[in-house]
Amino acid sequence: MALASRLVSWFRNLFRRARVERELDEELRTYRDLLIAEKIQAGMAPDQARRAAAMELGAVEHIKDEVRDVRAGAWLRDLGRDLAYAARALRKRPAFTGIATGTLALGIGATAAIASLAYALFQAGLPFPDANRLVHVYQSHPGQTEYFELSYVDYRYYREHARSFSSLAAHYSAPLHFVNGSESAAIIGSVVSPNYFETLGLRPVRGRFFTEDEGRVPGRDPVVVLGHHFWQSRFAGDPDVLGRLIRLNGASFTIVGIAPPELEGVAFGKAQVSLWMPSSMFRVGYQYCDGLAPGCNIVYLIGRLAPGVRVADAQAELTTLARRLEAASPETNKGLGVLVKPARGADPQRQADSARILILLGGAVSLVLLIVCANLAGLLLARNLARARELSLRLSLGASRSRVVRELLAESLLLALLGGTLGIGVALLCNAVILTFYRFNYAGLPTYFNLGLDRAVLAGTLAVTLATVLGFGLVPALRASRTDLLTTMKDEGHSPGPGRSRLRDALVILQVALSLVLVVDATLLIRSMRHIYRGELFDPSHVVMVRLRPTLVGYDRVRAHAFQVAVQRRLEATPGVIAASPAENPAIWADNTIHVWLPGSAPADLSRATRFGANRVGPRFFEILGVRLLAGREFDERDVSGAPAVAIVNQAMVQHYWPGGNALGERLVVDGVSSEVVGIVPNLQYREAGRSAEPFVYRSYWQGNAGNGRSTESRTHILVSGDPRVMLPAIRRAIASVDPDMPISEDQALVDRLAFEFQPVRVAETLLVCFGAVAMFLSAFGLYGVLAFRVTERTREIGVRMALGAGPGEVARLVVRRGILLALAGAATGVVAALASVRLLRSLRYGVPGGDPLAFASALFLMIAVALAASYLPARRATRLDPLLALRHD
Amino acid sequence: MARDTTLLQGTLDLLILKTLTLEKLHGLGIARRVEQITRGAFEVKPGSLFPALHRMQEAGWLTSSWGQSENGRKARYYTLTSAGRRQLKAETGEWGRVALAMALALKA
Repeated sequence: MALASRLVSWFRNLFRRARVERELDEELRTYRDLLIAEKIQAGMAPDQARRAAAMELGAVEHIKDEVRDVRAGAWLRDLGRDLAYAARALRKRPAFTGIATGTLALGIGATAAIASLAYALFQAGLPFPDANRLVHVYQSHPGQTEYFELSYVDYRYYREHARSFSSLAAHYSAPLHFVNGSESAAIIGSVVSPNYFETLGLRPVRGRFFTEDEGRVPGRDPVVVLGHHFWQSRFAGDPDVLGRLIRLNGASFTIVGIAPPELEGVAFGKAQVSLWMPSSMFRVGYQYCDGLAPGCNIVYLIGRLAPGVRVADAQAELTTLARRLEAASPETNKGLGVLVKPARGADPQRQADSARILILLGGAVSLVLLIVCANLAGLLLARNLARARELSLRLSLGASRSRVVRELLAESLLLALLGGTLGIGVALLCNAVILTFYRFNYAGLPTYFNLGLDRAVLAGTLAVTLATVLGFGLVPALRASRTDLLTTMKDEGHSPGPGRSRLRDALVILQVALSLVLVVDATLLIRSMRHIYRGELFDPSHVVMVRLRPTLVGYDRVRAHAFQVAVQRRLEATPGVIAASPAENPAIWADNTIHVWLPGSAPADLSRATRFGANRVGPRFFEILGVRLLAGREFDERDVSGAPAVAIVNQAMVQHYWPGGNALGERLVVDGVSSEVVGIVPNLQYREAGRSAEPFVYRSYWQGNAGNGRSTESRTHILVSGDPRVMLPAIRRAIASVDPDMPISEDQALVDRLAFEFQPVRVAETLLVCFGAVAMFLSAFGLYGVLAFRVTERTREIGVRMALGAGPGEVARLVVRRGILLALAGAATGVVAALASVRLLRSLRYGVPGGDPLAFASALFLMIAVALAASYLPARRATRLDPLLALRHD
Repeated sequence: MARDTTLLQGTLDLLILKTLTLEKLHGLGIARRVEQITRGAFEVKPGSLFPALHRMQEAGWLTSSWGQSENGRKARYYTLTSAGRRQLKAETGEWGRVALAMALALKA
């Protein structure tokens, strides 16, 4: 009943408004008439009665407003009206509207972009049906925090015995050399258990996936399922591709199916998978051990939890099973455990690596948002101040306070909406930039990485911004509506009182301070990145690096050795190439370690022996890196297997073993082999600022360990005379002329590889430079606003000064001095904050001290320059004031 | 008349419901009747009377219709609905409890 009557009222109020209003008019008129009649009856004269009645009735418009406010659906009608009013008000001030929405858009866009990145890395689920039931399973090693692979044998055991999963699959990413007719390319394929697709809940777009039988007999089933993207790009989406043969690492495969487009692998952030083959074909993609044998740990697992099973349940069950495996086969499984992780975001290693940089970026974007808020608050404050007179007038004419506040709120809301819409555009732009860092992996292969504006992220960001705008729109609005009518009207609207000015000044100082922090940090990162590109005491600028893996195509040691020798000769005979040298690892790596000790001090327990960074490099390696040896010689043609073992050590190792003495000619036991130190090189490994260099030892590529197949692989470093990127095709041709089937990967200029190796620095640098520029721009604008406002505010005073003989220079100084003072106050605060912030950058600073005077000085200089620029227009306007007009200025 | 007496929240609603129990009244009539039954303790101003009347009407407690006043003028008359009577009963009971509690509290 009550509800029905309310609904009727809603309908009437919204759609029969004219009639409702007419009736209200009528009712108030009759009320007045009755009042007059009453007064006349009481003996008043008609004139007097009318006046008395009017007095008693009060402001009719005010009563009507109050009645309208209590009506059902009032807020809806009011909202529409207020929004229309706000839209008109905003249209009338295009400069204010443009700047406010632009500022908001930058803040929203930057925040949403960083939030999207965080979401993608830590939270996003895989794009498959019921993906929140999917988990990754890794192996844990005792005392280590990394996430390791399992053996296929163990996978089979888990799959057979675990009840926690409705389906459990194994996958291994294999580097493949793909050949189709005349076309060839380095791609990543995935060797998977036949139930892989079923576990993910996928159906083939064409053809079929694998049968359970295809996982059993080693080498029997050379079939592949093509990725949708790979099918489109390499086969132009040809529907007749099924049944066709392609060559992978020298073996023929039949195409049996096409995967749906959403499948690019299951390891978000790692290489995009181009095709899949069943687990019986391990040998094609992996040669170092037999993928189907015990102890050959090469697969990761992905499982779908059975209904009602939680991640913790699965973890508990698999841990029990792992204990049983350990008891059954201690020789391969001693101490091994399992880690079950929800399939969310990037792989756990990447998550761990990204956490720090995301904290940094989150901090930076919070500063930007804070600056945006301060700027916006200043803008709204100024705007509402300018309108204080209008508001007071309206309040005095009977407009209810709530009405006025609502209108101001509507304006804020509209601004937020406009800014939000524009912000989505900015966010998409930012995402495109961020994506360029993650789209390719270290080897230059495309990655499975996408960055969408997630609905949750977007909603969250919009909510924050809305709160900001409402907060900063509402508070000034409330203050403005409380303005005392008399003072405001008497003040003639140009003297806001010292409190307001101080607040605006404080907001500008805050902006300058925060901007300074961002600019200092950005400068430090620019310098850090430049240091990285310049090389740590070596010169990477003319070096190309190529990875060659002869074992992938079945070469034995002898053939691989001959191949490497031939490649080096062929490369050095190529025009434009100065020298080529095979190495085990990239010159920039320091994470490969081996046992080192002095003769006669062999450790009793090898597992406790000291390990130092090591690499195996060929002749002319240091020449290629532009390194001058401090003493001794490089490896050369003499240092082959069978010849006396030799080693080159870095300065830090000399200091470690022979402090103050001479290391040349001394002996050192490297990986159990007593070697003579023949050369000493500077400390070439990159290290974070403030860390001391670690000892490092180089062995001859042609000596070194002869044990596993890896020792015949190489990262061949090539010094070229021109642009290394331009030389890449010629280098590929030279290698292919030795063996056209040889897989070539990671072929890139060393500087490009550096860019990948130091991706966090690069991401942080790029984004902080953007943020710093935005912050700078915004605070310049804030400063300009305050100064321009001051000139208007003090027009009369300036006029008086000019009339008393002050020249334009003096007047300009008045304005500029104020600007510089505000900037300096902000900069002083900022320097303190910046000193604190550089600690966050510790892991990203290479070759730059945290208190780098250059970074601080240039940031300060930039700030002063910006302050001067921001003062220019207001100062000019002040000098151009006509004293006569200025004196009459109200 | 005691002009400064502010009406307690909800008191006006209760008074309006009360005045309408006997007969339908127009706005001015309600205002005068309230003043009369409270012996002038409350003066009902149009600025509070009309919003209250409209609100109560939308809540379904009152209905209104145009009619002729005692001196032959057009006026809008308000009538109590059955929902209004229930509301009056509920609020009267509530008011009694509050008044009793306040009286006890102040005596203590």
